[in-house]
Amino acid sequence: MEKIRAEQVSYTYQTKYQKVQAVKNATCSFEQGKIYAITGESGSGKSTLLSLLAGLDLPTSGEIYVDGEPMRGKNRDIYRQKEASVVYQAFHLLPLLTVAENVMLPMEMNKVPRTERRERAIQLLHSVGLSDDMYEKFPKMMSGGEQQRVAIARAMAAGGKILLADEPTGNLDSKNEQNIVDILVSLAHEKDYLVIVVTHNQMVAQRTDMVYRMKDGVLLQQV
Amino acid sequence: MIFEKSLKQLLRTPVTTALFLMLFATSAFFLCCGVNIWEQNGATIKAYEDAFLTIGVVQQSATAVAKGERWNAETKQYSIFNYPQYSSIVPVSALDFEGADYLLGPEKRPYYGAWVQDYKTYNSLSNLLIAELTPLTDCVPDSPVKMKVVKVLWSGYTYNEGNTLRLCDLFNDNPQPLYAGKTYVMSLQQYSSDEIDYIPASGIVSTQYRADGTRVQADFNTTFYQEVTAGFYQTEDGKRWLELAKAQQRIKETIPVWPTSGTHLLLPFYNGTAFILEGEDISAEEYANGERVCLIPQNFARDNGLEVGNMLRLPLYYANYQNAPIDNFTKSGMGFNFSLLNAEGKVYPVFSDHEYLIKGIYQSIEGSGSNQGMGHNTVVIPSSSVRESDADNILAYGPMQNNTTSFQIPNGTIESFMALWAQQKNDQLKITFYDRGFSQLQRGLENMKKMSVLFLAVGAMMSLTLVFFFCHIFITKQKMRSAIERMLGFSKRKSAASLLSGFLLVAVLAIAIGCTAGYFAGTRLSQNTSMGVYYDTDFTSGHVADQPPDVDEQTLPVWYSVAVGAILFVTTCLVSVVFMHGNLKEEPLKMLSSKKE
Repeated sequence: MEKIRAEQVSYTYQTKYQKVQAVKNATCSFEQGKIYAITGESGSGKSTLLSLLAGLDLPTSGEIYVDGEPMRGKNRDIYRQKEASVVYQAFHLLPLLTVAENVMLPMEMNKVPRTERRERAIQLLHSVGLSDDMYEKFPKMMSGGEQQRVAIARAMAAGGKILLADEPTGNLDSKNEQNIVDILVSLAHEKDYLVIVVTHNQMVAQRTDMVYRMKDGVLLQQV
Repeated sequence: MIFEKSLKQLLRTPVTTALFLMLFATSAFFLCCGVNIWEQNGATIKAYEDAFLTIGVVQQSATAVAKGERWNAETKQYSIFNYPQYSSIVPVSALDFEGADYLLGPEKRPYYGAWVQDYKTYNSLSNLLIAELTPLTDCVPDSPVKMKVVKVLWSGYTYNEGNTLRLCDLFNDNPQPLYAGKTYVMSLQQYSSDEIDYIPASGIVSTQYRADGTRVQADFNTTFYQEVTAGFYQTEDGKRWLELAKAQQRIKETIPVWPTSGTHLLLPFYNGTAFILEGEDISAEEYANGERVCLIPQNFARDNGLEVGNMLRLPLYYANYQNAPIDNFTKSGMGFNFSLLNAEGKVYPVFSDHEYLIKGIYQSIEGSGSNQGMGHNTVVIPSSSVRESDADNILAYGPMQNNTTSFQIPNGTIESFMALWAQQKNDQLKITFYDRGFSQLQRGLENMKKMSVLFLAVGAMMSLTLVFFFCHIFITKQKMRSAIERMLGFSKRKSAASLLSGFLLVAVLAIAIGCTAGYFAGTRLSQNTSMGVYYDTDFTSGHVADQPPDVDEQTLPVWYSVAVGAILFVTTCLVSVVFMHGNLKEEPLKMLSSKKE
C-alpha cells in the first residue's frame, strides 16, 4: 500500500555564491512494510530528498503526498512528531539527557502518561539490543553503534510507522553496520514500518526491497 | 515538561550554570547598588539643599590707607593714626552681573532710627553734656581749665547747675581763648582722667547725604562751643543748639530698626548667635509682601511688657547707610560718627510711622568686640514694609560692609558664582561666603555620586556583556539541540521554550539575589558615606550652633531595586529572544545532514 509519493519534486537552495538545484523533478513512491534505499554519490541530493520526505522543508516545486494528503497541507511538526522519524549518521542524541530520557522525549511530546514512558522506553531499548545498564548513561559514554541503536529506539518511540535514515551506518564498523541493518530490515518486514535509508553503502542497499539511485539531483529507479 | 527538561539540561552543566548565576548576580548587585546609591545621593543632596543656606557678605576694600595726626594736650605730642580711603563708594548694583543666580539678591541694608518715646530703651548716653558754661578765669583750654556750669540744656544724667568742671580741648593743637565773664554754650563729652572731666564733643554739624551717596552741604559748621549773647537762642545758631539738645534727647528715645529681605541674611541669625525665642520668624511671604511685622529683642520686650501678637509703633526718622545697629547701639553705650541734625540744622523729621505686629521675640548673644551682633534694642522688619522714601533722612553713607550687605545663592554654587565674579574684574569688593559646611559636605556627596555612576556603569556593562556571553553559550552554542528538537517535532515556539525557560529561570534567580544584596549594600554604603561627610563645623567661620541641621535620614524605596531587576530581566529576555531567533532561522535540514557532530 503506497504510503508516501513524491511527484515532480525539485528543491533549490541559495548558497553564498550560487543557486543549487539539489533535487530535480524526482518522482517516486514508497509502500508501508518495505525498506527502500536511496543511493548515490556525495552531493547527489539523496539526503536533501530524505529531509523533504521527513517534512523538514518543503519542495520548491512538485509535491509530496503522505497517505494521499499533500505535505503542504499538513502540520509538518505534528507529522514528524507522530508519523515520521529520522535517524542520522551523526545520531543526534541530546547529549545532556540520558539514554532513557532521550527515548522518552518523543513520548512526552505525544503526551504518553509518565508512568508508561519508562517501561516503554526500556522495551524499545531492549528491542534494539541494548542492555539495562545503558539506560542511565549519557550518549557520549556509549559507542557509535550503541548511540545509533538509541537513535532508532527514539525514532520508534514517537509511535509513527515511517522511519527515515540518513547514512545510519556511516559512522559504524562492519559488525555494528550489520546489526543496524538487521534492525531496520526487521522493522520494515516484521513491524510494518516504511523504512527509507539513504546510503552510499552497496551492502546496505542490497538488503533493501528497492533501491533508488540519485545522480546530480536526478532520481533513477533501480530494482 | 519542557521547563523541567530545560532546567535539567542546564543543571547538568553545573560549572557553567553556577558561573552564570554568580556573575549575573554580581552584575545585578553592582547595577542595583549603583542605582540605589544614585537615588539615595540625590535625595540626600535635596534634603541638605533644603536644610542649608549659602549667603555671601560683601565688604568694600579701602583703596588706600591714609595717615592722620592728632594733637594730644596731655602728652604734648601728635599721635599718628590710620584711616581707610575709598576712591568711590561702589554701588550694590555692581553685584548685578550676568549669570549671577541669586535666591535673594544683594541688599545693602541701612538701619533706621525709630523714635519710641513711649518705651523704655535704657540707652546709655550719660557721658554727654550740652550746657552753658563760663570759665572762672581767662584761659586757653590747652590744659584743664575750670568752668562753671551756668545752665544745662541737656545732660545724660542730673547735673547741678553751679557746679564746676575741668575742661581741656584735648585734641586741638590751637585752642582759642575763653574769657571769664562770658558764657559759652558747649557740647561736651565726659573724659576719664585724674585732671580732665570733659573734652569737646561734636558741635553743630550736619552729616546729611543724598540717596546717591553725595553729601548735602550745610551752611553752618561750628566748633564745640559758641558764645551766648542776649537773644542768642532766637538766632539761627542758637536755634541749632537747642535742636542739638533735642537731638540728644531723641537719641535716648531711639531704637535701631533693621530692614532685611530675609532674617537669615543677618549674620547673627545665620550664625545662630541670634535666634527666635518666642513666636515665629517672619515668613518668606511676609518678607516678599512687605507685611508690617517685626522681630523684637528679648530685653526690649521684657522692659516694655511686649509680647508676641502686640503692636509696636515705629516712627522712623533717620536712615544710616554706613553702619549696622551694632556699630552705634550697644548695651554699654552709644557711639556715633554722624550728626542727628540735617542740613537745615534741625532734628530729622519722622518719614515713616506705622504700627508693626510683633511676630517673634529673639535672643541675641552679643560677642564682645564683635561687629557681628544685632545691636542694643534692634528691631527686625521686612525691607519692603517701608514704602516711604528715606532720601531726605540719610545721616550717614558709606561703603558696603560685611554686616550691612549680603545675599543668598543656591547651595553648592559658590565656585561657579566666584568664577563669574572674577570675570567682572572688580577688586574693590571682597565677598565672603557662609554655607555651614555645605561645600565640604557636597564634596563628599559628589564623591558618592561618582561612586554610584561607577557602580552603575560597571553593573550595566557587566550585565550586558554577561547577557550576550551567556546567551551565546546557552543559546547559540545549542543550535544543534534546537535542530534535533525540531527534527523530533518540536514547534519553533516549543524549541525556544525548551532552551530559554531554564536559562531565564537562572537569570531571574541571579537578578533576585543581586538586587536584594544591592539594595541592602546600597543602603548601608549610602548611610555610611553620608554619616562620614555629615557636617563639618570647622568650615563655617561663624559661631554655628553645635547641632547639625535637622536632615531626615533617607530610606531607599524598594521599588528602585525591583525596577532595576525588572529592566535587567526584560533586557535579558529581549537579547535571548534575538539569539533564539538566530537559532531557529538556521535550517535544521542543513545542520542535521552535517556528518560531524
